[in-house]
Amino acid sequence: MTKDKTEMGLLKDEKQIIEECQQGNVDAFDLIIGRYKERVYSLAYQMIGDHASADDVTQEVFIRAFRGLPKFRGKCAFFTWLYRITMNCSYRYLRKNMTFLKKISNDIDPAVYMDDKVRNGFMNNSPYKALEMKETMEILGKSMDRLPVKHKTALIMFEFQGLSIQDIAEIMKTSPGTVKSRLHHARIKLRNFMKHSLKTNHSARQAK
Amino acid sequence: MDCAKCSYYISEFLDDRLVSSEKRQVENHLEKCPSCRELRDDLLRMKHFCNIKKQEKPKKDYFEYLQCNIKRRLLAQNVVTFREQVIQFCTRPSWAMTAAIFIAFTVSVSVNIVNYYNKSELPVRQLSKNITQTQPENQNLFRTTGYSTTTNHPNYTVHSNRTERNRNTFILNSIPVRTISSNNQVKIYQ
Repeated sequence: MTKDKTEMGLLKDEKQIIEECQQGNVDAFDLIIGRYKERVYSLAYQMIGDHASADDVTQEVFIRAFRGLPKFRGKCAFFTWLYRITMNCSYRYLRKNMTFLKKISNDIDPAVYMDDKVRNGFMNNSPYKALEMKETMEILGKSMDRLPVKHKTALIMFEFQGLSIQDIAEIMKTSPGTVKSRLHHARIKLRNFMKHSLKTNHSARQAK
Repeated sequence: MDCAKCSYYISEFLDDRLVSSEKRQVENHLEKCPSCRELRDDLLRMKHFCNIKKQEKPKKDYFEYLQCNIKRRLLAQNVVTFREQVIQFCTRPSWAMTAAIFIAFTVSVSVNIVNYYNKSELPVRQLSKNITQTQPENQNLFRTTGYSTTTNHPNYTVHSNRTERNRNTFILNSIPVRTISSNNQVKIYQ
C-alpha cells in the first residue's frame, strides 16, 4: 500500500494531486503532507522555538490547507501558499501563547537533536565544545526571539529555509527590496544581541 | 567607499548579490577598515551558527507519527454531522440553495395572496365583535365547549357558505373564554 502511494507520488504531477485534493481526496492530500511536513514543521519550529507548539501548528497548517484548497487557484506556487499559511498560523500562535512560551523557553527540548554528522563535525566529540555550542545555540534562539516578528521571519526563511528573496517577498506579500532591508536589519540587530557570545567564541578560537 | 556605505552593502556582499564593481569596492574597503572587517566576521560567524541550528531536527519516526496524526484528524473531520451539513448548505452558495430560496419565496407569496383574498371576502374580526356584543350569555357558554355550530344567530347564518374549519376559528375567536374561568360562574350561567 505504501509502495503504491510512493509510486503515485512520484508519477503524479503536483497540479494533478492538488486537483484531486480540491475534490476532497484525503489520500491525495497525504502525499502533499509527506512532501512538505518537514519544511512546514521546520519553519514553525524556528518561528516558535518549541517542539510541542510547532507540532500543533504543523497539524493546524495542514488542516487549514486542506480546507482552503478549493480556494487555491494556482496563481502562486503551492509551497508559497503553504508557507504563508504556516507563517500566519505561527503569528497567531505566538500572539496567543506569548507568556506560556516565555516560561518554557529555558527548558531543553528532548525531541529535537542535531544531526550526528554535523554534531561530530563541529564539536569533535569534545564535551566542552558540545556544551559551548549548546549555549551558543540557546543564545542564538533567544536573540532571534527578541527580533521584530517580520525581521525574524525574513531571516528564518532566508537562512534556515534557504528560500530566495523573490519567494520570501511573495510569501510575505512585500517587495524584494523590503525583504532585503529586513534581512539586513535583522542581521545587524542579531549581531548586537549576540555581541558578547560572538566575541568569546572568537577569542577562544584565537587562543587555540 | 565609507563605513556607512560598506555596512549598508555588507549583507548583500555576504549573500553574493552585488555586481562586480560594487563587490570590488567593498573588498577594498574591508582591507583598509578593521571595524568593517569585524562586522563581516561577526556576520559570517552568525551565518555559520544559523547553518548549525538549521540541522536541528526531530527523529525520523516523529514525522511519520505527525503525518498519521494529521491524516487521522482530516478523516475525522470528513465525517460531517447533520448540523454541519445544514450550516454548509446555508452558507455555501449553490443551485440547490437558490432553488430552495425561490420555492420558499413563491410559496410565501402565494399564501399571502390567498390570505389577502380570503380576508377581503369576509372581515372576520368585525363580525366577531358584533357577535360578542349581541349574543346572549348561555350561547357564549356553549361556544366554549364546541357546540356553537348549532346556534341560529343571524350574523352566523349570513356566512354559512364558509368552510367548517373557518367556521370553527370564527367562533373560537369571538368568545371571551377567560370570563368563564371558575365552576361557580358556570353554575350561575346555567
